[in-house]
Amino acid sequence: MENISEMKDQVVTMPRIGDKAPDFEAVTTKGKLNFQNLLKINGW
Amino acid sequence: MFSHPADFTPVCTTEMSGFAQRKSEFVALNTELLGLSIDSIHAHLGWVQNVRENTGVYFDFPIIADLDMKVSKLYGMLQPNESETAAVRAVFFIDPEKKIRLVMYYPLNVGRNMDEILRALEALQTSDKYKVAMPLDWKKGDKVIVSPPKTLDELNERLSDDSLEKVDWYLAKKSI
Repeated sequence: MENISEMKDQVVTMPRIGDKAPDFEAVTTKGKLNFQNLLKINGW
Repeated sequence: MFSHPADFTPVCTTEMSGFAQRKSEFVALNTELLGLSIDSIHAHLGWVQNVRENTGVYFDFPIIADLDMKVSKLYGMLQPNESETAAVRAVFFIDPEKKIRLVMYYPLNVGRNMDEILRALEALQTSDKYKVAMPLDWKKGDKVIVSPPKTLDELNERLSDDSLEKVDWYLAKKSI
């Protein structure tokens, strides 16, 4: 309960429009993913 | 990138099926799909297979197993007053420059709208390409808004430009 209370009280940061997307590595259903490598190089 | 609250839950199943069924439209817009929930990789695999068996729909895109909530926290997908254990329904539109361009947040009890997600994506891309803005309910083929004048010279030029559909000098549209 203490952890939940602390979580509710903490300041939540979230990326906003215009911000650089935070980088991360993660396990996915298609294997390990490096976020930077996912983004298309050729533009959209 | 989009999050869903949990595998093997009803609204999430309809949403993920929606992304899967319309994946070709995202591919046509040169856009990658990336899902996420706070579940294990085994739960993801079991759910993907379960949905495929029951409906024939295959979630053919990566889904992050964010058990440690690392990515959820990084992207503000955990909103404790909505749920302490599940991510809300977030959608982040991230452009090739790695910049966040549009954010949607939906609560646990309301599914997203795939038409709107695709419309917003195409609107962003069209806006970038032609340096224009998109009016209410814009969809492909509709006229777009040209930037309002910023100087008197530009204002005079705008007033004499008969090629535009002008509601007034500050609200003008053109076809692309």
